[in-house]
Amino acid sequence: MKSVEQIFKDVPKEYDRYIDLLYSFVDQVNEILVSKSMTQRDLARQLNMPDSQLSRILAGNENITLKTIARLESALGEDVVRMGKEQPVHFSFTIPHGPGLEKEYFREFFVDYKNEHKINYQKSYHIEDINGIIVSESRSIEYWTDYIAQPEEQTPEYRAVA
Amino acid sequence: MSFNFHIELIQDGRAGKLYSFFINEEEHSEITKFLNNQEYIAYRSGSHYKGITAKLKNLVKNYGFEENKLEPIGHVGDGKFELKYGHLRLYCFWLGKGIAVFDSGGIKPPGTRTYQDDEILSAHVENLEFVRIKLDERLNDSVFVNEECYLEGNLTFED
Repeated sequence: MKSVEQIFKDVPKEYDRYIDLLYSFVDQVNEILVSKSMTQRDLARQLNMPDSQLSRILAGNENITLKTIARLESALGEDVVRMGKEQPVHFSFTIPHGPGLEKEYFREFFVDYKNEHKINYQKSYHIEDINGIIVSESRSIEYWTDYIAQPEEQTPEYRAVA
Repeated sequence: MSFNFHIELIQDGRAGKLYSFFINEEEHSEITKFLNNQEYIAYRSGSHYKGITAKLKNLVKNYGFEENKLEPIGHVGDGKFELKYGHLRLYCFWLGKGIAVFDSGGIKPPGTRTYQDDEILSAHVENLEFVRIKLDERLNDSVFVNEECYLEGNLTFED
């Protein structure tokens, strides 16, 4: 029998990415709902959509079309997906943390800045050690263009590469 | 229904600790058996299997077992959830965003409404309920979920 670790490694990239996108999308919709003090029912009414269908969408159980995304954005009054001209240019900075904790810190780092900086883009990154060996898989994150890594945050061991 | 079992950490993810249980000293956990089941792997050309494994992987590695990404089953508030993709169902009970205990699952036959309409799915949910009750009896007494979302204590349950 294959181990769960091996089964996870064997998940086709296409599916892995699809679910990551889907979960990321529904998380952002849920965050907007919270920030606007709206319930799923409020949103369903605005969309003229059955509660059950919206519930399936926001649980990541429905493959949504671009048209549905546009309807959701229109009802929320905010863009959830950013594409085209808004795609960022090169992005690279050092992760200010030691072995084993770099990804966690990376994630928290952005969360900490969330309230102060506008979310501009999404980008995928992986983490390399000093020899350029990839030590973590590629994954998508949100980031803010107005942030520049400070010298005291630099560390020679690891860096994130877009 | 009664059986002996022990609970083990199967996958230690950054976002979620995936536990499962071994019934009557079987070699493989329930989740491992589900993920290696050839019928499920091949169902509908494998698309449902690929989807549910991608979901599980993302929960463990990136998102944690957020309640909005799982569907509650059974009585409200008893912590039992299903993860689904297409017709495949995988059952678990939830101990927090960072930790869940997974059972096996199966194919929900098209046309059926709930897991109770299918013998195999019902049997898995019954097993899960048994494990949940037994673990609940020990939780915060001789078994604890620590700050890092690991289960600590005696996880072997024998009559």
